[in-house]
Amino acid sequence: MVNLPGAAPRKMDFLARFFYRYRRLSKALRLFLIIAGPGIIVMVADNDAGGITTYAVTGSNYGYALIWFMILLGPVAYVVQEMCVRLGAVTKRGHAEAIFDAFGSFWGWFSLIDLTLTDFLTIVTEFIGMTTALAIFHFPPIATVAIVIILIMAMVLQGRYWTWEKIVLVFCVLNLIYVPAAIIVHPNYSEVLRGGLIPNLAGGFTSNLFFLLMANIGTTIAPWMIFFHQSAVVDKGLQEKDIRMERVDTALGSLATIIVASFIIMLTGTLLYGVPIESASEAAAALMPINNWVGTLLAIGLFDAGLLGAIAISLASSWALGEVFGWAHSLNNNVRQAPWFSIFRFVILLGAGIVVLIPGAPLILITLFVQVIAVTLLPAALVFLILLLNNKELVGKFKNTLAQNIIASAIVGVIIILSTLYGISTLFPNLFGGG
Amino acid sequence: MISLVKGFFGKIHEINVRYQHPKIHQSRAVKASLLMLRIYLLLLVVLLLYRFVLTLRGG
Repeated sequence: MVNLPGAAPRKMDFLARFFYRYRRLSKALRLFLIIAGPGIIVMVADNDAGGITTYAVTGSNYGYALIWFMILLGPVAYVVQEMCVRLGAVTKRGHAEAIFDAFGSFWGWFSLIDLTLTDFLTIVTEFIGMTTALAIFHFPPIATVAIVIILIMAMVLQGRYWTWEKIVLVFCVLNLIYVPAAIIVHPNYSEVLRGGLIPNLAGGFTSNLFFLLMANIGTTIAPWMIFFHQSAVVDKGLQEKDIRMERVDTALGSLATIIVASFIIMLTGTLLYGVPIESASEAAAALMPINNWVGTLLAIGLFDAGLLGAIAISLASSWALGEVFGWAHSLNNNVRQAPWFSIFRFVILLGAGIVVLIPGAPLILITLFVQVIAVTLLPAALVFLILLLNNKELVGKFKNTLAQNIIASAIVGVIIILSTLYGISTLFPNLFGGG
Repeated sequence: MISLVKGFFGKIHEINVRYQHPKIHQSRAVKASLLMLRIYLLLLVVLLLYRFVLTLRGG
């Protein structure tokens, strides 16, 4: 090899090259650790109490057969959330404010009111998950609700985004509890590889399968995630230069979602295959006599999932309202600096907690109603996301490319059709031949 | 309390005025998308009302 005169030597010393790469990698890792957070949190919080229930029921109904579908949903969720990252980092605005500004007050109010209602009802379902999970350990529901509200509010007392984020990341790590829980039960790995990873329709396309597939989509792509992620990116102060690292953060988060979902399916698919269960808490209770450790881990995981959901979802609406009403709405503000932001969050959590504690409250109806209300908001939020990311005046060079538009539009189209069918099938259970 | 309610409605009016006109360029794609969304929402509202009526009738 001949070096040209004046050019840098082509052959670097091995040690120098190694040191250079090590420094580059360690710098990138440090940068990632600073930027990482919103993507992992939104994706892991997506595995909320409702999500855990859906995965547990999927495993008990179809064994390992639908793991491939969960794996497929990971990249789908990534594509949607990646758009939120770009929009937030470039415009420095949350999704609610961006909708008001771009599409006017009609669509703005529609999105804000629908989001607040959906979030309130979803938090009710999180409290249902948390109270039923701890009820397995004979913990009274009222104490669970009180402790959860105090815990969530205490996390923001200090008025530092960083503190809040690190605490939530610890809860995210706890969400991985399903991995050891599934390993303990010794799933049939060869069956997982053969029957779970190869796309199949688990013995034919029935109405029950259709409903479960749609439920899995509904739990993986939710409207609050779009609002939460974009606002979190803004509140954290991420810039255009941080988009690349935030993409990695989001991709890691979606990987964690897939792993948790797959291991829950493996867990219930191994021990509860064919057992009729309707919720994750039922699954945990059913597992207790079979394997006390696994039942306990499932219950702890369900509580953690509900807590993560309540933390993220209550924030999504609080951020959205703060953006539109012009309240101070940063996690970097303490309660005195952002009183309405904190009061609204407290009220929505307290309201949802009280609903769960009311004897005879129609909790099953609420759980079903959440899906229907979410279906009214999801298409609008997704369409607005694509339209905003095609506006060069708004996002400049971060505008969607043709390939991104084709992929995003295809995904959004399919999500809209399936989530609408899911909403309709919830309203009219017999329409698709279900019982 | 009354001043709080007045202030709240005043704020809503202010928001309505501030965001009265959509700022996004109303291209064909934007107009078509918004129209589709309106139709979609209308259909869902009709379905919800139908379900509500059915529930009231004990269906």
